[in-house]
Amino acid sequence: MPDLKEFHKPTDIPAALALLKRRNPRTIPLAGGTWLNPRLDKEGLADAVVDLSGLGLDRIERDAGALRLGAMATLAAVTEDENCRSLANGILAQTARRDAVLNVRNAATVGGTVVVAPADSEFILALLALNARVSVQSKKLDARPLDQFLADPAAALDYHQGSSTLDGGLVTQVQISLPPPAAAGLARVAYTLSDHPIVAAVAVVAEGSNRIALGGVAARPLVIEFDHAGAAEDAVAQAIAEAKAYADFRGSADYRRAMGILMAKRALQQAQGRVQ
Amino acid sequence: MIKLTVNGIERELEVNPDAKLADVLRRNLGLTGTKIGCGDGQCGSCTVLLDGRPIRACVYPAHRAVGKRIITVEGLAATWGDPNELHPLQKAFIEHGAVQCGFCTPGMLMAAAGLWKKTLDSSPPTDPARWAGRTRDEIKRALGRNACRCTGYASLLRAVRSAIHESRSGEPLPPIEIETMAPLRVIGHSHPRPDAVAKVTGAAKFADDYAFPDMLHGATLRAAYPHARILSIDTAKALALPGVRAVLTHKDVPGRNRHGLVYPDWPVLCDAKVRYMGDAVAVAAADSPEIAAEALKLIEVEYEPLPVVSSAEQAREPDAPLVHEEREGGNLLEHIKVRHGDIEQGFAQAEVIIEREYRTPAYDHFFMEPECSIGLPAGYDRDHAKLTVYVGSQIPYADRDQIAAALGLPPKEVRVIGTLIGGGFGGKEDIMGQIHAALLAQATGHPVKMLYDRAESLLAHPKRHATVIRIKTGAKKDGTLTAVQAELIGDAGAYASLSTKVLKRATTHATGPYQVPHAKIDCYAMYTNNPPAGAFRGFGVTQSAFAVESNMDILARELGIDPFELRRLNALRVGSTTATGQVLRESVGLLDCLDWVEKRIEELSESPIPESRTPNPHIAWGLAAAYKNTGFGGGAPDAAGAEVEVYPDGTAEIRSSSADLGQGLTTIVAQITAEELGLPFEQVRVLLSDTDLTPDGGATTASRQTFVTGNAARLAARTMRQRLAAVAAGRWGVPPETIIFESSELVYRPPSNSPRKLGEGQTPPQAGGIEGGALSVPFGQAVEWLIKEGYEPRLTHCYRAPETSPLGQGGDMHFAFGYGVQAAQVAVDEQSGRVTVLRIVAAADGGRALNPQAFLGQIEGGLAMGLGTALTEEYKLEDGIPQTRRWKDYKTPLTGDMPEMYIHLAEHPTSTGPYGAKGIGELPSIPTAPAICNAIYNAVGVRVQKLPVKPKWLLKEK
Repeated sequence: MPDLKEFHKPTDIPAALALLKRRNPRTIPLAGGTWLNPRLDKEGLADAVVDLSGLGLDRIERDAGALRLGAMATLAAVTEDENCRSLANGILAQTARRDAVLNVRNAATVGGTVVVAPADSEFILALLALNARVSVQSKKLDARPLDQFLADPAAALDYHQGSSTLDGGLVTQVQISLPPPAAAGLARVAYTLSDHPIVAAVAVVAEGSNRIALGGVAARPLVIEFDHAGAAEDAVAQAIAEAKAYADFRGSADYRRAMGILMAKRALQQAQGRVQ
Repeated sequence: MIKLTVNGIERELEVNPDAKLADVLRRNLGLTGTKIGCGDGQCGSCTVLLDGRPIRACVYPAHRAVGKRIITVEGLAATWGDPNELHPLQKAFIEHGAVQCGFCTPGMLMAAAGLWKKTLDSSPPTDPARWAGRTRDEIKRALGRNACRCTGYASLLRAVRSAIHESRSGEPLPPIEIETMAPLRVIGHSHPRPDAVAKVTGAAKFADDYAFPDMLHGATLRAAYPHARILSIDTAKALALPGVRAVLTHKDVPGRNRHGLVYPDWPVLCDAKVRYMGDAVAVAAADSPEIAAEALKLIEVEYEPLPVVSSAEQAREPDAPLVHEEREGGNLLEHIKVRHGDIEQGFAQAEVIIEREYRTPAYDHFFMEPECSIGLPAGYDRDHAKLTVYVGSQIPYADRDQIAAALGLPPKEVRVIGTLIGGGFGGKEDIMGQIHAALLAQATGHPVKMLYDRAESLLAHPKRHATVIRIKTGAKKDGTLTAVQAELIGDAGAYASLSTKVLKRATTHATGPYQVPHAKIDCYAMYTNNPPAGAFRGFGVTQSAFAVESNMDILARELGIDPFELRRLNALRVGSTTATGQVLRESVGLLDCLDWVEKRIEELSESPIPESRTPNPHIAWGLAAAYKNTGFGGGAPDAAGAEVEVYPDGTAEIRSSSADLGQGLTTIVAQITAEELGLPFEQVRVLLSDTDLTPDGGATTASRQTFVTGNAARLAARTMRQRLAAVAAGRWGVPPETIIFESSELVYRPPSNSPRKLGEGQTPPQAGGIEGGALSVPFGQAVEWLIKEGYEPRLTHCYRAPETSPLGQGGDMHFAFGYGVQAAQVAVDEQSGRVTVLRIVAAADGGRALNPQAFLGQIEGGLAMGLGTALTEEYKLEDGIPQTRRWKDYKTPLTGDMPEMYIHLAEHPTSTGPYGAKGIGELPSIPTAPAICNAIYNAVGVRVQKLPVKPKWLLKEK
C-alpha cells in the first residue's frame, strides 16, 4: 500500500515546474533523497515525486564572477571539485565531507542540503559565511542570499503542509561570488570527532567584509558580519544575545550560547592564521 | 516497469514508485547480502556501488537507479576477476578477523570497495610513508559512519589497509601478531570463522533473509501510553481491510498469555493493562508489510491512562503507583543482599572513607540486525512438520518452551531454528516476535514474518538497567581496604526479564576485584513503566564497576597512593576471598594485568601523543580494573550439550543449540572438535541452534559458551575419539590409549625396542601401515570400521559445569572469573568540554585464548562499547516515553572515534575450562568507562558521577 503513486523524471525545467505545481496529487521534488526517502514511507509526505536528476543541474562551474554549484551536484562532487577544494582554504569541500560520509555524499545534493537545511549542517554554515546566493527558477530566475532564503518561511519547502515548490519555483544552483575571501576557518564541538556538531562556526575573512556563520546556537544559523577582527567579539555576543535560545538534550541554551562565542572565536582565529 | 543492471545482469522489474533500491535488491531479486540496519541511511549496512560509487541503498530510490550499474556484495568478486574467487577485500576481511556477526560486513566491504577503486585509480605513491598515512585516513573516512557494533573497527581498518597494500605490492599485510601461550595443534591458532566466506559474499542468511512461499507479513500494535488500563479493543475494521489475514489480541492466545525468562510476567498480548510503550496489544498478518501496518491503524483501543512510574527511585516512594497491582511487595521486584564480615567493624578500622553517589542511564544494545522471527504453521511442508520458528535468538530452547507455553502445546511440538544473528550483546535473550509469529502462523496457516524496523526494535526490547549507586569505601592510610557499603537501585522496567539475575551480578561485584574484608551491599530491583531491563554485555557489573573504580581513584588521591599501587595492594589473587565468601583457588590474572598495563603506559610515554584535534588539550591517563564471572553461578545448574558425528569421508560435525552472536563460538567448537579428533580445522562442520537437531547448549550469556559448550564439545569429541581408538585398537591388537590422532589419521607407533606382533585372531592392519612397525588408518576408514562394528558414529555429551553456591551461603558463587585492567588516555578541551580518547591500553585474563584473533576481536569490540558507555550512548526516556526513537538518536562510536589500542592477552588458564579457557565476551567492555572518567578527572579535575559524560555538563562542573 505505497503512499507514493507516481515517480517522474523530467528532462527539462519547465516540465519539472509543471509537475511540481500540482496540488493533487501532492507532488514534491526529489533531490538526493537522503533526507526525503526515509520519511516518504513513514510520514506520508506526498503522492508523487519529481526526480530532478535528469535536469542537468549537477555541474560545478567557475567563471570570473562566481563559483556555481548546480543544485543536483552531490556533496561528493563538492569534495572532489578542484575549485571547491581550493576556494577559501577548501572550506566547502571540508564541510561537505563533515556533513556526510562518502556513501551518503554520493547521493546527497547541494540543492537538497540548502532546502532541508539540517540544523547541524556545517556545509550550510560554509555557504552562509561565503555569502552564497540561491537561484530559484519559477516563471523567472531569481537569486537571493542564502540567509534570506533560509529566513523566509514561505520559501522553505514545507513538506508537511503539502507545499510542493519553493514559492512557486525550484532551486537550480547556489553561487558564490568571486574573488573569494582571503581565508576561512572552522571550529566545532561535538560529543566525539565523528559526531555531528552541537555548535559549529565557519568564519571567513575578506577585504572589508568578514563573516561568521554560527550553527547550533539558535534554531537557524546566525550570520554575523563585521568590519574588522576587533569588532568580532562584540558582534558575535550581540547576535547570540538577540537570538532565540535553542536547547535539546545535547546542549542547554546556556551551553550553546557559551560555545557559540568560543567556536566563533576559534574559527576566526583559524581563518586569520591562514591569511597569507 | 523498470530495468536495473545489477551485478552485470539486466533485470526488468515491476516496482512501486517509492521503492528503495535496498528493498528491490532484497525482495525482488533475492540479493539479501545487502542488509538493512536502520532504514534511515544512517548505519551503512545497505551500501552498494552505483556506477562505482558507494551509496546507501535503503534511502536510494530504485527508479533513480535505472541506467546505472549496481554492484552488490554478491557481485563484488566478479569486479576483481574470477567470480569464484574472493575479492582481495573479502580475503583480507577474513584473514584479519574483520568478520564477527557479519551483518555490517557487506556494507563495510562495499564502502571499502568504493575507496578501493579510487585508490587503485590514483597514481602510485612517490613517498610511501606519506601515502600510507593518507590511505589510513582515507580508509577511516571511507568507512566513516558505517557502523559496526562487534569489532571496534580496528580489524576492519587492518583488513582494508592490507587489501590496498596487496594491490600495490602484490602482498597482503600479515595479520596482527598476538602474543599467547604455546598453541596446540589446532587450539591457540587464529583459524578463520567457518561462516566467514558466506558472510563476505552475502550468502550468509539472517532471519530476514529467509522467505517462504505464501509468506505473510506481521506487524505489532504497541501501547499508546506507558501505563494505562485497557478498556476495550476492537479489531473489526482492521480485519475488514483487504489483504489482512488475521488480527489477534490476548483473547486469541490459546495458552499462557505470559512469557519471561525468570518470572512469566510479560504479556504475550496485553489484556488488562499496558505497562510500557513497547507493550504489544495486538498483532496482524497481511499480504504485505504495508497492509499489515495499515491494519494496525484501524485497530481501536480504548485506554484509561494511569500515573506513570518513570524511575526506580520514584517506584520506591510509598505512594508510588503500582506497576503490577497483583504483586505482593509493591514495585519491589527483589531486594538482593551481600553480607560479608562486620560492616561496623570495617568502617571502624577505616582511616579514610569515600562516599559518593553515581548514576548510570539505560543503554541500548544497538545490535546491527533488528529482530526478525518467521513462524511456519505445523505441517507447512515436509521440512516443517511441526510449528517452526526461525529466529536469531540467544536461547533457542527457552524460546521453544515459551512459544509452546503460549500456544498451549507441548514443547516437543515446537521447533526453533536459529538463524545467523547480527549481534545480540544480551538483547536477544528475551522473547520479541517469536510467539507472535507462531500465533499468526497457526491462525492463518501461512508462514508469517515479524520484522522490526529500528524504531520498533528500540521501543520494544529490554535495555541495560539504569542505576543509582551510593557507595562508601573505607581504607587504612596504607591503602588497605577495610569495608565497602553500597546501595544500588536498579530500574527493572515494566517486566522482570533477567533483572533479578543482572542486578545480583551488579551487587556481588560491587566490591570490585579487590579483597574487602567487610561488605554490606543492598540492591533494590524496581518495577517501573520504562522498557524492561535485561541482559546486556557486562550483566550489571558495568554499572557497579563505574562506581567502584571511581571511588578507588578518589581514594588513591586522598591517600596519595599511586592508583596502580592501590589496586595492586588490594587486588584479588590466588587465595583471596571475595565478598560473597568464595576462596579463589586458581587463575587470577589481575596482578599480571596491572603490571602489563603500567609497563605499557611507561613505554608509550616515549612515543608521540596522538593528535587530539583539540585546541590546548588537557591530556591525562586514567585507570580502572574489573572482574566478571563466567557462567550462571549462584547455585543455578549450568550445563550444555553437544553432539558429535563422524563420517566416512573423514569429516566430523559438532552440534549444539548455543548461539553464535558473532563472538565466534562456531570457530571455537570447531577448533575443539578438530583438536580432539586429530582432524584439520576445515574438516569439522558446525551446526548450531536447531532444537530438533542439536542438544540444548543453554543461554549465550554470562561469557559462558566457550567454557560450557566448549567443554561439552571437547568431551563429546573426546568420547568419540575413545570409541574410534577402541575400534582401531581392537583391530590392531594394541592398547587403545596408545593410538594417537593426527593429520586425519589414527596412528599407532610401537615403542622402538618392542616390535609389535599381532596376536591370534587379531586383524592385520587394513590401511596405511607406516615405517618401523607402526600402523595408521585414515580417519574416514576408522569411521567405517566403527559403523561396521555396530557403533553409532554419533554421540552426545551433556557437560555439567562445577557446582556453585547460592548467594548468602558462601562457597563458590562462580566457577571462574575473568580479570581486566585498562588505562585510557584522554584529551579534554577545557573550554568546550569535549573529550577525545586518544589511547587505551588493555590487558585481559579470560583464561587461555583458544583463538587469539577472535579473543582480540572481543576485546577491541568491548573497548568500543565501553567508550560509548562513557561518552556517547544513552537511551533517553521522559515519563516513560522513549526519546530515543531512531538510529540517529543514539550515538554508538564510529571508526573516527576509536583510539589507538594496545592489548595484552594475560592468559591464566583455569583447570576446569576447555584447555584452560574461561570466557572473554563481557569483561573488556567493563573497565573502559571508569578508566575514561578517571582520566577526565586527572585531566581537568572534574569527577564524573553520572554517565554518559556530556560536554555541557563537564563544562558546567569545571
